[in-house]
Amino acid sequence: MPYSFTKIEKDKSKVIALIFCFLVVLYFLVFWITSVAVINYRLFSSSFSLSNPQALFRWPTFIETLWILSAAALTGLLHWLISTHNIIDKLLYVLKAEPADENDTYHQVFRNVVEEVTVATGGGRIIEPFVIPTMAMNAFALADFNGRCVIGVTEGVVSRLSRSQLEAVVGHEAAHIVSGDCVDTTITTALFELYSGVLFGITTALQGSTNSSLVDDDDRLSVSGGGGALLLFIFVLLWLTKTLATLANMFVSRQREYRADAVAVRLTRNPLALAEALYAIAYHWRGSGLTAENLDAVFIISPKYSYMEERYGFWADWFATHPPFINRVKILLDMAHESMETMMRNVERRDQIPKATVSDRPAPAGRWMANKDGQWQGPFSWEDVVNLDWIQPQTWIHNLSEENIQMAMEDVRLAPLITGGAVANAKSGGCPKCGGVLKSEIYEGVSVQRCGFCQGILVKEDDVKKIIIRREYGFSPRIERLAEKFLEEGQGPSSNSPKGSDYDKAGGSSKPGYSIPGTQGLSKKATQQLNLNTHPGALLQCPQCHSGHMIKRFYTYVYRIEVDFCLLCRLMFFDKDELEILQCMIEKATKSS
Amino acid sequence: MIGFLIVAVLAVGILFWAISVYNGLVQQRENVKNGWSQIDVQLKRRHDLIPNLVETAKGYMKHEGETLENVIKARQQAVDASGIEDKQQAENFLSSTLRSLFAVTENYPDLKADRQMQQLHEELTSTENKISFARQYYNDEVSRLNTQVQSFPDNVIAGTFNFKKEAFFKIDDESERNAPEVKF
Repeated sequence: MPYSFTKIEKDKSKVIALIFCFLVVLYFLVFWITSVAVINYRLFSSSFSLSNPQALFRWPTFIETLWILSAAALTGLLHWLISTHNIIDKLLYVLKAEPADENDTYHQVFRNVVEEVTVATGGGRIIEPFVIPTMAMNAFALADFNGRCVIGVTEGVVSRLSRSQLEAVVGHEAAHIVSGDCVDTTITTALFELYSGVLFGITTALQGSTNSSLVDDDDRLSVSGGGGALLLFIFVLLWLTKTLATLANMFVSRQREYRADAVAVRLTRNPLALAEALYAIAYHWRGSGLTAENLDAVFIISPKYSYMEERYGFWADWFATHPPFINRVKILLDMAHESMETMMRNVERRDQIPKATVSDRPAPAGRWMANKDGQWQGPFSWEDVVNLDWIQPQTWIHNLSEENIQMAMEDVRLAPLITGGAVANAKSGGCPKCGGVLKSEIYEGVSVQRCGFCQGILVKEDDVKKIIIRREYGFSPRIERLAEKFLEEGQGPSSNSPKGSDYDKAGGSSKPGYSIPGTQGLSKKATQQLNLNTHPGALLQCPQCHSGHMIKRFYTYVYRIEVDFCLLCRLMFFDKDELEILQCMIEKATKSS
Repeated sequence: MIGFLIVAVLAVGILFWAISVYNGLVQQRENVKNGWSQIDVQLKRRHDLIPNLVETAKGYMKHEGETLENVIKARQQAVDASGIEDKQQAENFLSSTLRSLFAVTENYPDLKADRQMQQLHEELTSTENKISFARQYYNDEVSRLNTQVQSFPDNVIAGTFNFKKEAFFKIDDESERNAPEVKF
């Protein structure tokens, strides 16, 4: 009933005491079985005789049992102390969560939403907002004895949900914190599931290394043999901790999710938004396969697609951490007087909302002529004239629908693209490609630097991942066509690429079939990449550190967009349109899968 | 003797009940106060944001002097208002002028694209939400207090120790429940 922070401190100690007892009993059982084995092993080896088979076996005496009990209590206490020390930091580390970034507009919205929900609970406690940088969709809450509490969501949730949906999700997590069950969950998770999480991480890492060594060459096989033994050992441990974690789920009631949903509705007064958010999270990738899946109790919807979670019955009620999500959605929809179909349609429609296209920005009308070396060239469309690679601030230009002829820098429409922001960004150096002025702007919620001249984009490596997840802007048909081309090429080996490097000669790719204006230099191939890396002259210089050249590489080998990358500053430079093509490629690939 | 004991036990029971009811009422009154101070904090925050907003908008909206002046005036009224009734009126008026300001910004694409304006807008949206959440919390607590003050037998204690009903923080029209949502 109460949902103010001040009223909850009382009855949480009961569950916690229960958890501690469970821990001690567990250790007691393990020690006791071990000692039975040890005692009888000694009997067996010292006085082996078949004449008196009774002497072969004895139970531990009462005194011995007491010793075992105290040892178990001590170990349990130690385990407890180690696990609950800095409990939140440990869990955040395993979850790979980071504090929400103040310079990121999406994260800023998330921070604000957390503050808003805190106000709705009556204030009183500060909730720290965290973000897990992954495309998966999920949300979690953590709290410890000292009253520190954290609400975290994945990048996918921040980027894909509407503000009211995000508010509902945060409301649900705040409800866990407010009702106090969050502390129980956090402690259970830290005691039992944290280790299986850590081991899971190690296993995946090891598996990765053994796999790659098997593929590589024969010399490494011995290494993988050693790794295999270690792997087996870790697998046994993993199995044990996983079983324990499942047992520990007994303390995590599935009912608390219903309660948290109810309180979330009371806080935000928007059951529909919560239903939509749950539905959206459940039908996207919830994070199975990540280390986080082993900490499932703290999440809003279990990251695992498990059969048990989605049904009722004795076993499910005892060991599942979450109730069937569809029931939660149904209850919420009843509150909102909405039908399931309408809600589903709404969520799907939101996925397909026609977004603003970057190139839809209003372009000045008319055809343009530009003067190159005393010769008038054109007429060009606005898009072409901006993308001419020889246009300079002093180039004479003429809009055919207007009277006057003027220099590019005098034209109010062209000038910002060529000279804009010059003062503000003078320090950071020019565009690595053309030396034009870099203008910082917000693209998909993160701060990027765009060259006003060649339209290349300079982005921090981590921000590229964020941009890929977000879908504020849609793509023009041209970008979609190019992305499809790239995807087709990415499937097969690059045998259809032109041999030799005509890139160096032509200053751009001359591959036929790419004669779409403004996309020169897009289809550089792996062979050319090698050539370029051995020609320092062709490498771009990083505009931030000036010291190093930016290496050329593919974004990934699946998405073969070529980027220039500074290893020192972790900055990536995308040529015009390439970032959008990359986004579009990944969006298409994830949709079709 | 037994009669005396029964009376004594009853008296002690009633005393304990009275104490617990009294403490509950005090707690509830504190919650209401806390709720009100939260509203106050958020209202102040809004008052602080508005001059920045107007300053930023001024550069772009040369022909909308009147709208901007209205916002400034409404803000001043809200700052000067004291007492719950006055505050309600002034704040509701301020909300409506802000809504019309944001409606007008729709016509200025440059202003909408301005980064500072976007930040201010996000801040203001968030503050509006906080105000409505704080109001929601306050009204919930007030209704709980009012119920307790009026219901039997708690009303005996409440009457004796002068616990009074508190006023709700009302909203002019229902549509305002949702903060002005302006798409940028």
